[in-house]
Amino acid sequence: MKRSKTMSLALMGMCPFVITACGEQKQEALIYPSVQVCIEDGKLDAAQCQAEFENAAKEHERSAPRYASEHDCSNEYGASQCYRPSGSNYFLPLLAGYMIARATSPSNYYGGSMGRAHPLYHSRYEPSTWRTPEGYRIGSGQGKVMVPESATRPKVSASSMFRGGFGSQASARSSWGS
Amino acid sequence: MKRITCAPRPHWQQLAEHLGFHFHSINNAPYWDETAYYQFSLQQIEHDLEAPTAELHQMCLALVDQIVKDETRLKQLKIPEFYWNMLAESWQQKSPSIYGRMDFSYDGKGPAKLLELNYDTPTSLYEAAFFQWIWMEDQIRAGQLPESADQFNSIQDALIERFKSIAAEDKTFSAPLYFASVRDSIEDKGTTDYLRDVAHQAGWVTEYIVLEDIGWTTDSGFVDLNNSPIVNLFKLYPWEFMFHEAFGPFIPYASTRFFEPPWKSILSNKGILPLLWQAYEGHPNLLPAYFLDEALAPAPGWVVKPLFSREGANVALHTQNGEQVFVDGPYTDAGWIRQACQPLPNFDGNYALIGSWVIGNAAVGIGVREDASLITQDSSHFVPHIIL
Repeated sequence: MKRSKTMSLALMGMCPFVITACGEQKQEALIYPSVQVCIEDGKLDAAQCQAEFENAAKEHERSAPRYASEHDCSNEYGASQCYRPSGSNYFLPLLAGYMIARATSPSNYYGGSMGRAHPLYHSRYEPSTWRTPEGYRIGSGQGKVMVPESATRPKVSASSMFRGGFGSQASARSSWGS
Repeated sequence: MKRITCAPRPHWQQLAEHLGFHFHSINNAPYWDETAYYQFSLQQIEHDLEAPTAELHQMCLALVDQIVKDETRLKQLKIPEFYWNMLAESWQQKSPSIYGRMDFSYDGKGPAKLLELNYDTPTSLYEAAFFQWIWMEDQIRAGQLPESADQFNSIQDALIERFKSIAAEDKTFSAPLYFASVRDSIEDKGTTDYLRDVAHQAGWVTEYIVLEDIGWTTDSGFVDLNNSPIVNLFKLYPWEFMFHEAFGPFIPYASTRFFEPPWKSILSNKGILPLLWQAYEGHPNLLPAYFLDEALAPAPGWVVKPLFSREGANVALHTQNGEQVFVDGPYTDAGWIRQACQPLPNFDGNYALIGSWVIGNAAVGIGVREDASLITQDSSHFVPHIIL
């Protein structure tokens, strides 16, 4: 037989999603859906759990994906999972949890000024999988977990910024698919 | 090789819309055409299309290996010197490619003749991989085709495997793979959506971004609308355009991994045809081809083409019998080639062109397009095929 045995569409048609795991350099992190769960886990003390949550919340305000409409945001994150911060003209997903990545310096094991607290979200189609603001998926664990190293890097703010540097030749000519 | 008329499936347009095929008709003129199909024998497929496609592909890769180190040929291909190192590195690092399409003139009898390589941004993929497969299954179930009918098309299976194997060897797999196409083309969005779908089925996290929305920051390189770094980028957009655009100079400094990789720009250039003829003169599946310094009207039996045109634009054709066809267009600013004219076979007034798909390094399927003109253009129809 010289043809494919089955045929399906995951995104273009009306079919469900299928997700598989990834594999890259991993490192330790702590993931909690709330300050309470962090305290119960006992790896950090209550003050640390609270402080890291506040760091993640600040990072959330800075780096959560911004959407022009609630509809666009809900498409990604689910119904009633988005809100508009007061005084702003964009929508953000609700903070679903936070991750404290192990610091690279051995003298400061978790969190604090050497570590990084990251906001985490759940997406609409994967309500138990954690997602970083950049969209990296890091499993559905809680407490001490192993996460891809690239997911623990902080999102940098754009210092010098350009957009639209691709596409001008196409509008100068009429078509480009071949 | 036969062309057989048949009845379209009732409600096929609704099915197409339901399956994301929004460009089945273009400006109310049909593009997908199921009023007919082509029939090939297994011998014709395996001997005359599948095997030569695989062989030509290997010949092309061997040529890329030489060209990346050869200033003279890089200059003949009009690739700007600024990018030569980037091309060489992407080849030496074996940056993986996903797909390409060879276009052949083939009439079922003589050897298929390679007209062009579309090896950077080939389209008609969804129609060839998915929609014609569904058509055949439906027509077998409806009793319009015998159960023994087959099709040279394992393109979707091959695409999913290819995306899986790229993920398996890759350090950047957990980062989303972005899919980009230009803002205003429904057809390009359809092809891009389809590739995104198969990548997703292979386990990648995927995103779509309009090509013109890609940004650049000094901290993160190429970024999306949230200024998140784009680590993996599939672009349905030609390298030869990007080389000359505002973001071109940033590309060698970006850590973005591109699909198709930069070395593919060597093969998606009609200058590869004279270089193939130089290296493999007399090969039964190749046509004589030579570089031209300027556009000339072709002599009888020759076709003149620009290095970088698409959809038949700026092609001038002159058959041995004196028939002349010319398609105008905007691709007049780079080099030219001439190629011996191998007219497409005529089936009831339809000139048929075979698009043979290479996924990874394997020949895995074909799609047939027809045009009322000897030069296949945007107005062409996609027609399904069977093996019987």
